Amino acid sequence: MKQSAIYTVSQVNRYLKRILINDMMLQDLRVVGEISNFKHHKPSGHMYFTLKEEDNVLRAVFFRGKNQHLNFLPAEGMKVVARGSTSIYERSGYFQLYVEKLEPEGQGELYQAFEQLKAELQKQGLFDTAYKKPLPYISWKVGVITSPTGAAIRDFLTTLERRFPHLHVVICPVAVQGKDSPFQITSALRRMDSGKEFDVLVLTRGGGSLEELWSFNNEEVARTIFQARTPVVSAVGHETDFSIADFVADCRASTPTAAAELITPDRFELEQKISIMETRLQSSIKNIMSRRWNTLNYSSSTRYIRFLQDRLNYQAQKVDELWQRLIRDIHYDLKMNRSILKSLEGRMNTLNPKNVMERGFTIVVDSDKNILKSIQQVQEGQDVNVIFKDGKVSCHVENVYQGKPGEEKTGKEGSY
Amino acid sequence: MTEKDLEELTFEEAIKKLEATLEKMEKEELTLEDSINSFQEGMKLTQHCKNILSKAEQKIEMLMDDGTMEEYRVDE
Repeated sequence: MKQSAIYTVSQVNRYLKRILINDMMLQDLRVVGEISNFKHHKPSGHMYFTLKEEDNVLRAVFFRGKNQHLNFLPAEGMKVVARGSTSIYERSGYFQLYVEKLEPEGQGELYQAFEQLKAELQKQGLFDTAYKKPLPYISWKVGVITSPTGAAIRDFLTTLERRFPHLHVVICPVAVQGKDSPFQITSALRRMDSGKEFDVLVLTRGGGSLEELWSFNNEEVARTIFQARTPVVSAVGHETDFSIADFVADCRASTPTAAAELITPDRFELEQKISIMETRLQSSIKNIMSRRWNTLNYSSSTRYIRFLQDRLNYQAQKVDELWQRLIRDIHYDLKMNRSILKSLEGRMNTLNPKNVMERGFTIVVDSDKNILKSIQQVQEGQDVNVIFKDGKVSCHVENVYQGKPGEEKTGKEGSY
Repeated sequence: MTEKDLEELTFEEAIKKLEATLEKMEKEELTLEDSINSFQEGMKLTQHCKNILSKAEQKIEMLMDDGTMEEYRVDE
């Protein structure tokens, strides 16, 4: 800028702004001070306040996009550390701090300590999933380490009552914040873990500032949780709060209510599960029985009867066959007998002397009616009878001839 | 499994046994006699589970410094 020149207001403001923007220190600085004139502009969600130190003030703007993740509510007189950049708001000419991050004073150190411890324990393997013990299906006996008067225990018990009112809960009362708190928590953890009588230990407290939750970021508490033989559920603060205890515990629940849900089944679901199993048992035995019954029916009504029928048919057929054979045999025999009879008859007929005599043969008998079959039986001068079919002739033998007819030899001459 | 064995089963053990029994029955691996035995045992197991649930009453106590227990009541 030149000394003799005349500038407009906007030119001055813009010039100033350029200088500020180019200053590295002013672009990222942390300022500590007390909040005053705090205004949370409703429609826009932006926050406006001044940081005060005795009689010095610095204007500050905290836009909604940056302030919506704030985990505490800024209030008048609160000592805070604001981190951000500075600039000029040209319209008013005000020099102000554009806040990126705001935290109560002292928390920055706590947060650093938290990050350090977290990194250290992580390096030592305290958060490794390999060491995480599984929770039992149902934790019948539950040890709860918490304040006996806080909202946490009330939420926890209310949820148990609603969900699964069958558990034995033992509360070990401890201070959940303050100087004595870490020692009380570690003692309670050791005490409840030593008897091995609990199925699960629940370490819980409601929400609070990082400082209030500090006992749960204690190294001794973390190591005691890690060493416990009983599964440990940690439920510290609200959904957005994470503690070292959460990381090292076997299971993290976001809230006390979530912890109660985590360690119990829903009783209605469980009862339903049992009754489903009962139904399955009944239907499977029914199936098995009806299948058997069908098989039995099949073998009795169908198979066995068919088998019997087969045998019956076979027997019937056999009877038929035998019958046929019998009839055939009888016929055969009859026929046979008839033909035998016929041939016998024929033979008888041929043999009947009467029939022979029909053909012209005669029978010669002596006086004693002996049939004379050979010439040897005949003597010359003997009387014989010759029997015809229709009468007889008495003869006197004059000559006897021996030999076949026509070849007769003398000595036995005769006629016939 | 005798009555005594069954009585001594925890809820979880009974549920596991039930699941195994059901699987066997549904896979049709059993003889008729074994099926009937399994069914009877299964019914006893479900009854056992129900008994455990009905007997398990909620109890809330507070562990005192001297090791004794005191009944705990939720303050409203």
